[in-house]
Amino acid sequence: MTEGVRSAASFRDPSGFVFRRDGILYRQINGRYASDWKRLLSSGLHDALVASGRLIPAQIVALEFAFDDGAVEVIRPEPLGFLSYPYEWSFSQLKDAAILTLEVAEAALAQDMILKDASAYNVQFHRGKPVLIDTLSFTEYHEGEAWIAYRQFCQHFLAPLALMAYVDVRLAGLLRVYIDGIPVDLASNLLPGVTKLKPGLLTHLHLHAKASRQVADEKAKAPSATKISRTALRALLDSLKDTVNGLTWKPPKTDWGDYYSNTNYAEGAMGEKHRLVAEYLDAIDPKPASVWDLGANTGEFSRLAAQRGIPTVAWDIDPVAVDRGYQWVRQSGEANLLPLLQDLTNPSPDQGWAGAERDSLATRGPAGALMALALIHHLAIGNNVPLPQLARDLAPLGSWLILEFAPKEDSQVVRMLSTREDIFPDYHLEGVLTAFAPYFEVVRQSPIAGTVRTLLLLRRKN
Amino acid sequence: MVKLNRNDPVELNVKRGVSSVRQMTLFTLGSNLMTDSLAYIDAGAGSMLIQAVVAGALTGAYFLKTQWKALKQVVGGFVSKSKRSGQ
Repeated sequence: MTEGVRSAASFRDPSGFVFRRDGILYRQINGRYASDWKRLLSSGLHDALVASGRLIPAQIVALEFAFDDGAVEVIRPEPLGFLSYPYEWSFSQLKDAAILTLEVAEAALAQDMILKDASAYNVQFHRGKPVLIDTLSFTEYHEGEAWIAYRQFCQHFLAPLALMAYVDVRLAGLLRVYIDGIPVDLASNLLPGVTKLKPGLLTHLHLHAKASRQVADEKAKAPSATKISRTALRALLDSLKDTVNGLTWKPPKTDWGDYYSNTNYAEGAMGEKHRLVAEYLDAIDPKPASVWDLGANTGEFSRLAAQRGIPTVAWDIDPVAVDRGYQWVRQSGEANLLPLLQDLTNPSPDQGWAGAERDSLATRGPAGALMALALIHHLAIGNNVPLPQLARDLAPLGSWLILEFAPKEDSQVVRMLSTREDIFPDYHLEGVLTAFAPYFEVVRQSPIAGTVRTLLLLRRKN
Repeated sequence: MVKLNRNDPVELNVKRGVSSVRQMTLFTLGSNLMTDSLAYIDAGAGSMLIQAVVAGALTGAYFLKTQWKALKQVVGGFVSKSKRSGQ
């Protein structure tokens, strides 16, 4: 057995931590958590939450797998398809994760337990649905105690959701800056006055911010008999749930959200592109372990990979497109597709404590195969990324690449160049092949009938 | 209402004292809602305070809501049972 490696993201809770050994993920349960662990199992709460799909299933393994002597138990959680972060989620994803957290808290309370944290990072999207991954989040509930994770819930979920719903959906990007959630005072400052008329937002954000400001600098502590009854705690959770459920976001019309209805593709050509992409996916041998569809829009073509049983991440910059993709996943029950937000010109970095707590896009790779369909003209012309750099920086992300090239005669490219000077003399098919040649070999190349575009299947050179 | 004279240092100290006592009470109220179980995150005294106030205020409405739900369930069950026996 090789030496275990602790996860850089699992260090805050002394109850236990996550580590890898021989490529397998384990969670060590420390002695101080023993009684809560026993209660979690004996109460039936663990099994009930797993059965309802709210908690990640985990298997108890032999203690010899422990990372160190502090362990009283070691569990092996079911592996996740892909680890994503709240700043990569759309509005509906964050909302579903918030509701899941509250439902779990309610279920725990019914079994005399309570969530001791409410971090959005404890939720992951697994088989198309949000699931709590931190099995050690539960602690014994003592009659009269308040919910210690209340502030964290408001910062991680309620504040960003309210800002997305009432100000601008792009403010979810603040979650990338504030790794422990958006401070309630900042949210309160940014939210419009009308939100003070909403009882849930008034209390859980505006008055919450005011109360926090009022006691911020006080260090005094003295005994008090003030308690919160169990019913009051239930009322609080119920109010938070009502408040979250009451937050809606009406997606504006965006270029990307309506891309496929505005596209220059004729129906026949779209069908031909579908056929070719499917054919290229099938030609990848062996079948890729994962696919990243870069600039996936709503995930129309990502579905082709997912439907082949390949865990697929559909990355896109547009919150409307990603939200639509997620709605589709929810409705269809497609377990292999995960739509996520990503600005490829400024991808998620390694960040958090020691720059290692949250992994960058590249660190979470490489994928078995990449798809970049109708993407590179946006990067090369829309964002001035030179083709050789594009090839160099895509190469480490995947072993295979399905690339769609739209030449300057393509109506989308014509439109892009209509408002700017054409400073891209190398932007043509030969230029693309030359730029990618140091890193990839061409396996297939097909014109997409009914268009001026070309589809390429590239294999990374070793 | 008697207004404090902001230029009078004695009156100003009285006001500061009242404010400190109030803030101390608020903090105390918040900090004592926590237990020393396995808490490892900072709950925030202000957050605990507002939680206590809000939860307390919501309890009555929540109680009525749950009772109403329970009543609807009972009535709903009774109605459907009557319909079934009527058929």
